[in-house]
Amino acid sequence: MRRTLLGCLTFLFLTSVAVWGQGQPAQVFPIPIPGGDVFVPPVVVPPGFLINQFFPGVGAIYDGQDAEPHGITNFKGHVAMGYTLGTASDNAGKQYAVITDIRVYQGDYIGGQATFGAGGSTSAKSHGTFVEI
Amino acid sequence: MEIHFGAGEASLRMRDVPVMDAHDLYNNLTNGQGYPPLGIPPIAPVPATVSFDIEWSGITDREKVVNVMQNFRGQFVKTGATIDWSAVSHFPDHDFVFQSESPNPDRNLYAVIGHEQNGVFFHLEADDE
Repeated sequence: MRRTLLGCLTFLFLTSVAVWGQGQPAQVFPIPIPGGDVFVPPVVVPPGFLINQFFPGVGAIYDGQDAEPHGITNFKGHVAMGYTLGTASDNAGKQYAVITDIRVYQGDYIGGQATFGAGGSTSAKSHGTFVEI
Repeated sequence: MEIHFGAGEASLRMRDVPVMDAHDLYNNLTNGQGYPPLGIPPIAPVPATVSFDIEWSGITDREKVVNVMQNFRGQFVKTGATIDWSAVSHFPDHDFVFQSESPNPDRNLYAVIGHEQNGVFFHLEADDE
């Protein structure tokens, strides 16, 4: 189910570096959850952009405590996530305010693997650890 | 990831993970095309590495969730969390180094550890730990 958010400060963590992957490239590629949040102005993403991610938490900008913390569907295993607030510094001594949203997924999943060439794919089961920052 | 779900503890440590630095969120989501309505110029991504230590601990709440609308079920514990992370982006003429402040439990806004199943696993018998 999609939900429109007018603001989501927790998403600001993506403004510098985005990580989405495994330590080793996946042979079976994970499939995003079908739902997520749609952002509209004046939020920091192009309006109407669907993010295949919910934002669990309490407060107006979140999706509620019972919202899906996972970003991958057809998954069975552990999830660990957290939002933190703090500061960071660069090598020129400039200081930044930083909000992080980190999610780790570890377990069995059914994803897609390349087959038949020409962009074809089939479902396959695999095991992996994925990190989103 | 090391996880002890019953104790509400987990940790993840990774070093020098290769990623691409998209510079800003707009360029990340538009694959480097920028966002003209807001005057965000197109900027090509550069190679980078990130390292982080994340710790979850200290259970503050437990909950079993069955969310039919979002197609998942699981057992979850709310915990404290800390993170220490750094990044190095490799531009042609210099490196940009980014280091977070020291881990501080008071900086945690919301943290959860869970054991869940979703999608095609949602309707299977719950695999409660």
